[in-house]
Amino acid sequence: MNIVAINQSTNKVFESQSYQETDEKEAITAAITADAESSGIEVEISEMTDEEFQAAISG
Amino acid sequence: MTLTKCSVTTDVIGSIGTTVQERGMTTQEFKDAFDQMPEGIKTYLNDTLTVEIDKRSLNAKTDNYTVVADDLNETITMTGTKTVTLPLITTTGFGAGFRCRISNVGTGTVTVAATSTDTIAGAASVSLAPKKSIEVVADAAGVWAVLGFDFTELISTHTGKAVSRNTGGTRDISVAGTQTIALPFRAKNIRINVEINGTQKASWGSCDADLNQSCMMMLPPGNISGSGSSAILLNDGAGNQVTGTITAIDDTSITITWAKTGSPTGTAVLFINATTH
Repeated sequence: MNIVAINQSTNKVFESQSYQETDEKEAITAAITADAESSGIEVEISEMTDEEFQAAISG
Repeated sequence: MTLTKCSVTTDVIGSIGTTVQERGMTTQEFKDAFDQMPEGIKTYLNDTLTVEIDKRSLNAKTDNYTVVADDLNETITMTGTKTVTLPLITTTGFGAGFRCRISNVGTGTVTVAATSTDTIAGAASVSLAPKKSIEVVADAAGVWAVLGFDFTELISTHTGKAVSRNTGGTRDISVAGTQTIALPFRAKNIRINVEINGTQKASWGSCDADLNQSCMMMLPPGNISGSGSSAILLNDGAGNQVTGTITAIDDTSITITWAKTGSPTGTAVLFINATTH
């Protein structure tokens, strides 16, 4: 599974990271959210399967 | 710190007299009085003494400090470039066998100094680098012996089992800034393979715990170059370039700082192998 940040302005993937354990989700989400804030980008965070994620970055 | 002494009355029977009846007590009153002593000792051992030992706390100092008798077996933590003075071993309350621990928990250098003709580890003083601790023990000849703990050396020479983690991620390379990759440990070695999604424009790099890093970049059809200062280097072939430099490693993550030349576009797909031991 992947934590994915979609850039609200471009509707493209800004950043993502995969995770192996459920308890890793919170740290990854916090890290990606902080990255977006530091870059001044408004994002929407969501979880995606590998198939969904491949479609998102290829689209 | 001095432990509270046990204050139990130990002459219960003597206070009662020859017989219970001579004191006008009932048998039950005698049993109750007699039980006061073991009950008091039990309370002292289980409650008072245990709590006082458990609560022994750090003696935190942020200025120069002279060790006092109550520091026996205590840990003094020091912050700042300060001096801890050990009084003469012959001082009342000290003497052979007195010991305490001194820990430099700050970023300055702590000096631990003996007084007058006393010595510490054969010298007038010793220095404690940041994050170093020592335990000093007095002998009868005016010598403070040092039992040292070098945690840095311990960490650098340990032979624990290696641990690795593979993780993946992406980054929009049109945006400069930092990317934090969460990891379950402090990485000592990082190998990172990155490709601009859907192309063969890729980079292979590595970084060690001291942030020494380099990479090799491939730009199809056959151009190869590299960097000696970043773990990621990507080029779109049109003069637009992006670098990813690992700028921080901590217990929970690594930080990649992305910088760009020109106007690169696309999504960098990262495969990261991090190891520690």
